[in-house]
Amino acid sequence: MEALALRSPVEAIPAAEPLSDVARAAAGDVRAFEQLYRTHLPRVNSLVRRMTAGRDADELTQDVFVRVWQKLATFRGDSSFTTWLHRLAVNVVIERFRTDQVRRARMHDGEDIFEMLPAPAQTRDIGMDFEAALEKLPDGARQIFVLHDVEGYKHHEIATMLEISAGTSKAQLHRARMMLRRHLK
Amino acid sequence: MFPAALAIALTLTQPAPRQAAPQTDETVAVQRGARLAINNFAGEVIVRTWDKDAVRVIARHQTRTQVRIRPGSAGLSISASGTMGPQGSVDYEITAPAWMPVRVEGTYNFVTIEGAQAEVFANTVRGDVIIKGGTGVITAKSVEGEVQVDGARGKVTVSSVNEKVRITNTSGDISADSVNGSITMTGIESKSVDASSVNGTIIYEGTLADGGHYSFGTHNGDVALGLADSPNATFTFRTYQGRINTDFTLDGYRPEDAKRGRRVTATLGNGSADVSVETFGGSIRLRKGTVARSRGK
Amino acid sequence: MTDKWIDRLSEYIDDELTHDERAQLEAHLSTCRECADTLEDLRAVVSRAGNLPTRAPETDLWPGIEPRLSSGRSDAVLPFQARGSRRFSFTAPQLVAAGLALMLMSGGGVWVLQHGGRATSMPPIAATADPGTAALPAGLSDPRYDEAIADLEQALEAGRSELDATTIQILEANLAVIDKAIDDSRQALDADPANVYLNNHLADARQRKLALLRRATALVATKG
Repeated sequence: MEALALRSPVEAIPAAEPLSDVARAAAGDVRAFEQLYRTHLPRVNSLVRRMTAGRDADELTQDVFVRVWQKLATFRGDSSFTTWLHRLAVNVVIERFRTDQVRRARMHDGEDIFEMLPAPAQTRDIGMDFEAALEKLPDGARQIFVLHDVEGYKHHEIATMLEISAGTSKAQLHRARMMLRRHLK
Repeated sequence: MFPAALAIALTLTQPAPRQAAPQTDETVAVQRGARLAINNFAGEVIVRTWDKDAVRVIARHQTRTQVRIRPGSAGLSISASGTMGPQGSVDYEITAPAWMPVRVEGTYNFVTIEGAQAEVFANTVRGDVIIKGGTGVITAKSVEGEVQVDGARGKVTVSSVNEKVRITNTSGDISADSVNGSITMTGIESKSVDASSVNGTIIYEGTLADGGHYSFGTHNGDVALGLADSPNATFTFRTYQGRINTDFTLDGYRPEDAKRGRRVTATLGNGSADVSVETFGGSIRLRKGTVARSRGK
Repeated sequence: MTDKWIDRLSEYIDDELTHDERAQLEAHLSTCRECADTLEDLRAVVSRAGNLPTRAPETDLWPGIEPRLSSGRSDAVLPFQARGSRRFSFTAPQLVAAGLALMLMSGGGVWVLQHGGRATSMPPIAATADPGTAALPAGLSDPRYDEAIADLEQALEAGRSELDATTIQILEANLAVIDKAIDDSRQALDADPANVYLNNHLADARQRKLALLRRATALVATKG
């Protein structure tokens, strides 16, 4: 499949997107890109905020859109633009988490990243709202929960993105769900 | 020879005066237990200590760059961002309580941390790292710069990919690594040393404590140990193409065995410390006293 | 004593159990109140997650995005200040400008991840690749290691445009240093294949290469 060229990629873009915006933005049209930004901002912002528990969310959201602009020429149109954009957003967040951590010297499947950051203090407040409880989860469990249950990624995809085993992904998802069930009210 | 974009950018900027007044000068109170985290993309980060429970941040930067000093649940976080577009470089002079753990991360940073009495962590891609002091876990890493640690006590991990590593007057467990640079450790008191380089020479002057474990390995470089008095150690030497020479009389030592990587074992005193020295192509030297006689650097 | 089925409930919800496991769990559910209640709770969590609202941030982020968009890409090298004069040298205009130049983003099609497409103009980062492992005696080749190295080299190659030229040079030079050590060890092993020292030394050198490639790949990931 040919990569999305800078000019006349119209036929490569799925009908779900406003045909002209992605194509024009890929060709360097900042106004068209701004339209894409405004269209996709709520979902990207929600994704980023939930994965990061609000830490540096605005800055990361901006980074996501800058990255989209940079990589727009590589969008092949073989998935929907929304799917592609969200995948980019997830990558930006994951990369930020990696740089915030102490580098691991050993070859692991990455499980220890979920233990290294201290879990925020567990609270017994049953009245806490679901989203607030989501924010309080340990980073790894929260990310996997957001990716799987909120964003719809499969375990093998999450395993690739986070460089962990699918088994770890399943275990952390279950852990997150078990912690969150107290905050449904 | 700068590419066009850089040339254009150059014409648009004014040279900054050498000792410009700082754009940021703030002091923030901190509580015991707080940690200091500095994230700087490019510039110089100097951290010194005092006995107040406060952090003073002096920073010099372009007006379009904004320094953010943010207290959080874990401590104080210092970073910068561009108010309009990309962030420029920031030079920091920070004074923090001696009890405060310090962490500095960034890409094009020269880092100096002096007088810390807690954990220290510094990681940069380009730029030297100099740590004086530090207690607990001390980590200093650069890809392209030199790394020096002096007067640290604890678990010390030091690495430079391309340049030399120097550790002086330090006690505790030491791990030192370089690909291209030499590793020089002097004035060391430790029961556990692990030093490894590919191209660089390794020099160690320090104790060989009873029951301690010491490992020195290089591919192309020499390994030289400067030992005071008569330590109690069991040496295991391996060299493929190099030679071994020693000022000491070692028990059980047969120099003719030391080739093609065959293991040569020799003992000094009661053989208590366990010392492993390996080099593929370089030589192994055991010296009485110091090794690092003014090497011109 | 924890009920072993409680830990499998998520897999049950996600339809990841085998046919037999599923049957056993369902049989268990009919007799275990705790598991049944927990299952209901977990289903509610999943349902709630799928229905979370989306919301825009409180402040408009566009002013922080627009200035970072540009159509030019620069290969500017960040000038390396001599160590002796480093104090305040980073406020010099060269560094600020170079920092700006580094930040100039690619909006064009220059950097494109393609299969068999237009390559970048720079030579590949692992120019001195390990000599073919096919030539090695069976005990010396490690397919997992080779695969890991290949993956990392690929990731690094794909992202090398995100690093400045000096950093690339230094990384390449050091990878070459390690490759030389690997070559030296391999050649020596050809003549002396059972040599314990050489085998360990080669393994160490390979681990080093892996570690350096990982570090380099991490640099690419953070810069992007």
